[in-house]
Amino acid sequence: MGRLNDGSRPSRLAISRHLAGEAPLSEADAAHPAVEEWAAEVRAAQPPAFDAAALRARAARGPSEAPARSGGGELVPLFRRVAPYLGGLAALAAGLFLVLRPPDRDPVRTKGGAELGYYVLRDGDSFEGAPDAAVRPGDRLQFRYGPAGYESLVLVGVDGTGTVQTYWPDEGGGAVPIAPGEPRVLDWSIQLDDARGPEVFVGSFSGEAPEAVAAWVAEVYAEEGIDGLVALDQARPDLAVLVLEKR
Amino acid sequence: MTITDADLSELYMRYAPILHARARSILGDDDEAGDAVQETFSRVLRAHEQFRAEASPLTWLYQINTNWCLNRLRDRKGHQKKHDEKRDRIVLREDDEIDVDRLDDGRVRELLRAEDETTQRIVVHLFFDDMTREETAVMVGISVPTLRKRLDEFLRRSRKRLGVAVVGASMVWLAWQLGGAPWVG
Repeated sequence: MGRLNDGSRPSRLAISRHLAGEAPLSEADAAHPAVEEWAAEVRAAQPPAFDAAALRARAARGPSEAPARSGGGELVPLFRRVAPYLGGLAALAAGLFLVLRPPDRDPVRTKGGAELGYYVLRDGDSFEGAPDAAVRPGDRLQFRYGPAGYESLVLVGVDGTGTVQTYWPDEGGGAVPIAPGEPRVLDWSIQLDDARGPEVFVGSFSGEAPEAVAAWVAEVYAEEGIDGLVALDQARPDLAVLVLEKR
Repeated sequence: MTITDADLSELYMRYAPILHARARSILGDDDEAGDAVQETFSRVLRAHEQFRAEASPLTWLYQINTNWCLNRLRDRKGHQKKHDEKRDRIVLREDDEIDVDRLDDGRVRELLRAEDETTQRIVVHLFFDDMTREETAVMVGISVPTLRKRLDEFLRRSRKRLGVAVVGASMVWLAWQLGGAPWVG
């Protein structure tokens, strides 16, 4: 079935009206697989239990805007709260990074082991990103990886403020199983925020849990900075570290 | 004349599962779908005379439910991660067209946010309610040609936003074999 309904099947509204007893479907429509598919979704639905008093109280309050989700919706709430105060520190960190950063690394490293690369979408144009390249706020990055025989991946990022964020898996769970063979492109991209400075992305193919990877990345970054992560990258074939600078 | 608890209960039993399944498909979230159901029924209480006059109560409920879901999607703009994640690829071939069959629900939700309200309604009815263009035009109150034009514009803007990247594994492999200059490890 195509994504858009060309009239060859009943719509979900028509099926729903049929299920609710408002308007029966024709015999032909009722036999379409889309009917049972949507009916199963409806059967599986678990709306809140009926509570007349609560509904009347809600109605008495008047039209409501969609309320904010309570908890769990933000991965980096602390960062957002303190972000207004970190702009200066981020700029300072970026400046220090420019002064103190080691000499440019060989753009094509041949250490062997797992690899991490990326594409950039900027102003409507897409291109392959270079290692150690400068990226810009608003750029969208899509990562790709070479698994080198490893079978799982965790991707975390750390910015100039030391904020660590797990990008993959993006909805909890353990390290994401991957096919050990060919290089792959991740199915999603990220859009860089406005904070300037270094952005380091660490791909761990070791099978460690995402929380563990995020914890040691934060620790190494806090103690040894970017060089500490780069040194680990050189020493461990199950790691791939990408250092970008956002200007 | 007010609606009794018994009447309200009967309506809830009949329509709440449908509205919940529908809101869940649009929002991708069980809790928010539950909230959508409760808000929709609170509107029934506030506008029960209008509701009673409807030939198709479900169609009326859909309209209310749509409003709430679109508000909820717009509200999500303020709840993004540090770097906004996009469930799409950015590797681009200039001659690629949007393949609507490849637009999964998450991607459609993402694309909806930047659209005007009429286009949002069109997209919700076409992509989530599986309505035909004709049904959608009636639901939104526009002509079919106008709907087609709006849909084409939505897909064109989406293509630009996505940079439609349909790069298969073979192309990635080829890029890798050709040198893969940007790769580090």
